[in-house]
Amino acid sequence: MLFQVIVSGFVIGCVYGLIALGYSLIYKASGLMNFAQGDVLTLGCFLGYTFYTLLGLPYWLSLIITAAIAFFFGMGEERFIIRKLQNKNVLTVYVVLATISIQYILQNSIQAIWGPNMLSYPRVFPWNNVTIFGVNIQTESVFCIIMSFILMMLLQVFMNHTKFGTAMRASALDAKAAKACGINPSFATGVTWGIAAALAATAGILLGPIYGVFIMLGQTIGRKGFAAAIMGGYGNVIGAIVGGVLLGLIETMSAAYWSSTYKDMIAYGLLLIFLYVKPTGIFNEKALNR
Amino acid sequence: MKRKMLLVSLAILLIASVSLFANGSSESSDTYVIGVPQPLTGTNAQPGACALNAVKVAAKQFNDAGGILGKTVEIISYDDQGSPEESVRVAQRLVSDGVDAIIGSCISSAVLSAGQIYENNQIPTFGTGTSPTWMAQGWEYLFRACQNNDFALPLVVDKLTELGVERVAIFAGQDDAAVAGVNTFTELANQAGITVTTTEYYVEGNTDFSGQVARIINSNAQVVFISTFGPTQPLIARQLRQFGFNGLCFTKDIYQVDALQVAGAASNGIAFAYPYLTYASIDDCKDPFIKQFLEAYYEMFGELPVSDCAYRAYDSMLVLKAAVEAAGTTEKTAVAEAVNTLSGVQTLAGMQDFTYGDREGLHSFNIFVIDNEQYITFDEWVGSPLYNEIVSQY
Amino acid sequence: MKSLAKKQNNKLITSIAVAAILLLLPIILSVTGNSYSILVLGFIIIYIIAVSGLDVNFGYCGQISMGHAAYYCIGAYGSVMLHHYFGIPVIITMILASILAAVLGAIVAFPASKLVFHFLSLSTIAFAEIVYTLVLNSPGKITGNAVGMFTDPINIFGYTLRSNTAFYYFGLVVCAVFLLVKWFLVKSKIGRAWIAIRENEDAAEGMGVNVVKYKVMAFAFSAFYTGFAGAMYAHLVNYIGPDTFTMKQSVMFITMMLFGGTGSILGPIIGSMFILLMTESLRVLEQYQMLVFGVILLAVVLAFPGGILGVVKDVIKKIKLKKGGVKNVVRN
Repeated sequence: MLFQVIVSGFVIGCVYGLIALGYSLIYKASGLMNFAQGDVLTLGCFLGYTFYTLLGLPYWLSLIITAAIAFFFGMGEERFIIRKLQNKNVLTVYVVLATISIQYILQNSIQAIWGPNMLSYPRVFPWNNVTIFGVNIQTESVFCIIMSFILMMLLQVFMNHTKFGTAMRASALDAKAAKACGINPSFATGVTWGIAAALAATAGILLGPIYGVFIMLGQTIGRKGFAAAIMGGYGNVIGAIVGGVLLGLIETMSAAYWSSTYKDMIAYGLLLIFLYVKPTGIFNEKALNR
Repeated sequence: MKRKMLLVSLAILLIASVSLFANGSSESSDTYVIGVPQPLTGTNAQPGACALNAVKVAAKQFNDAGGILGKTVEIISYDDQGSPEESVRVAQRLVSDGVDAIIGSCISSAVLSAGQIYENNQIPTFGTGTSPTWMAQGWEYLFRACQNNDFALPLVVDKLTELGVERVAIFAGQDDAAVAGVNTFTELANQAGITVTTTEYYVEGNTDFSGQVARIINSNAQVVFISTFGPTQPLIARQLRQFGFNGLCFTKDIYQVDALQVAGAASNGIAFAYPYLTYASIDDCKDPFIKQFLEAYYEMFGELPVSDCAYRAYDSMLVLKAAVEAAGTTEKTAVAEAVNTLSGVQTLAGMQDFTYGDREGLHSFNIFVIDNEQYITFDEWVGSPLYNEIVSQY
Repeated sequence: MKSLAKKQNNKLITSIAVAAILLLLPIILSVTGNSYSILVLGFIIIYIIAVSGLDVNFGYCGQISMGHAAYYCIGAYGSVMLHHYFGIPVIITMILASILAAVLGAIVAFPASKLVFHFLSLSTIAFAEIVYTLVLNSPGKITGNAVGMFTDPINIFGYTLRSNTAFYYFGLVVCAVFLLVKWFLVKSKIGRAWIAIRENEDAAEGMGVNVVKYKVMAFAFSAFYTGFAGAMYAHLVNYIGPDTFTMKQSVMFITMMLFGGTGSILGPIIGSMFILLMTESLRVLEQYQMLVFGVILLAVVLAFPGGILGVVKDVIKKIKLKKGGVKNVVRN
């Protein structure tokens, strides 16, 4: 039983982590909060459903296409909305309001396109369960965990060991200096938003076979992702995943061994405690004064 | 320039909305206006949309057959978002629109907050939720033509007693209907000498219930009573089976066909007391009356109603029509009084009888169970391999 | 001199006209038999008070709060529960509940005062979620949990405000009082301290402003306003359930504030009116209501990032400039 609870905690924790990763990237690149992230997850889930279930494409291909669409969506969001506002030098809160309205639009257009009904993915793998330590685990859950870690590693390598990743970090650090070095900071920022959206959409298509497809899928996950990001250290790539997994584990464990009624309170209580006591998070990310 | 255009269009919008205020009640003598407040967006969009569609189906059928008392049926619907606050404004707006009757809402907190407004304006209202709470407020103009969970749950507890079940765990959501279901079930179980081992809640929007499931299984329960609504049903079914719970589950009301499709084989062994079922295809339906409705619905919308809220709203329309005809007038008070005299009204849920004096039309229900990913009645199920496997544990 | 007197005269006439319109509005509307629009007016008043409170916190002191639904909730539930369990008359419970909201606001604000924008907003979101969970799962079910609670209308000296029209007049008076208090407050020493903090926290501190104290004060005032609005809501509708007090409500407050314009008396009024009238008139779109709302919102944010009030001010400035220009030409 304990092992199964831990696996479930890992699954939901990895998803929190992927969302938190998106938050961190966006925060580093633009110094902003993006409230639409959770709904991009829902969008990813529905897109994946369309490609995989309706069009009958293979799962891996649906995953790639969905991530690609989300990538361009994120880039477009940055290019046509966020940057326009930032160029006008408006109060940050108006940019946040823009992401909130994007959230409204996303949520409601998903319903307008796919309808309000709950949908489901067929099985992705020919075998239902894998047996680990004598315990049955849903194959898709294991896949979700593995994929999340692979994505995190890839991102880490991309950010730290490729030219483009360095360019992205440089333009996040100091756009003017980066420009002087021949980097195009606005393009780099756009790519960052694209990656964040792609991560969320991937989380959505990974969740689809586990939880089914419905409009409100990403809402709560999106909000709790903030807690994960803060816990790990807002702006820290590894911190995001660690924070996510930790939050997922604490949540499920406390629900299993203490009280399920106050499960959500634990997530938000942790968020408050971290903000008040250690706002730099576990990984001591000093991103406080932006 | 663009800014100016937008400013102008905003001004127009504002003027348009002000002009809305000027248009008062448009009571015309040759139409019968039915207001439909339902949640059309958000978590409960699916039941709301199905209910609205079903009202449209009924209205079309009535109008094709000459209307109600010769009057054309007209529908005004608004999105109450399942929110108590929105619902109040929607209700007052419907009143101002001059509606003759109300069908809705599926969400009980929306009915609770709007009920007094309908009552004050003496509008016959048919709630389409299954929670007992809003009927307990004593509103004279509020009726129900679908299941009251409080009437159906005794059947469930009787069945559990009959099977010899001793320990039940509860998994519940935190909306009004779900909590009411928990309270009634717990009380009935205590009376019947069945122990409730644990009651686990979840907050709307969560998708991972492994903690709750672990507690349920650790509590050594034989049966799980699931008091939820909407997309959570298949999630909990799957997670219960994934964690190795193989016993019987009872849901507080219907376990819909979309849940069955999402959860697949994990749905086997789930039972519930309800008047009717939802179907994935018209051919699955054996009841001729329901089949007729499904065909009409399919013809209009190109799909079948996934949520049984469609049935609830359609039945409400049938009862409303019967009441108007019995009253011989569309005058609201007379219609409301006529509802209380109705009996033997043929609806999807069978014959409805409002003469009990409790403003409820339904008092008898069936127990259905899922086996081989198919719905069957409990009586048919007795003796099957899955039945023997599950019941031999008790 | 003459023109100054004329100007003041004009101002007086305008304010009398506005007052007359506001007072006569329900009568005009009730002639057309529309109790719905009076209800909407009541809601607009509630939102103006709530959003004005939020504006004290953000517009003047520069502290964002994305969890004001919490104070709305505390005001509503506090008032209803005090009335229900202790039998205290409603109008008094409303004030007590708002004080409670203010105290809780101060308690939250104290540790949050060192947090900057994003982190502050996250802490307010977390607080609001915790309040929501507690209302939904109160110990001993004292809040009625998911079922909610019924309550009585406002009662002033034995006169019960049963109708929406009565509530509207009550709301009008209350709203005027709240706006006046806000006006005096922001003109006072306190208001100047808030603005100093908003503009530059370090500089304010350097000038001897006790930043933490004033920040906590702004939060408390803000929570009082929103709490009172919540109590008004509870006794207008006479039923409260937890679903009203979710994140959606907080976002609605913020949207109204930003839509109108921050740091002013007029901004929240314009914002609340616009947004509420807009959502109400979009209601005919049924399930596309919120989609269209989102699109309009985004368009407005992109076109007028500074709220409607900013645009109106710009336009007035331009007109004045033109007028002045014409005069100059004539004189020369």
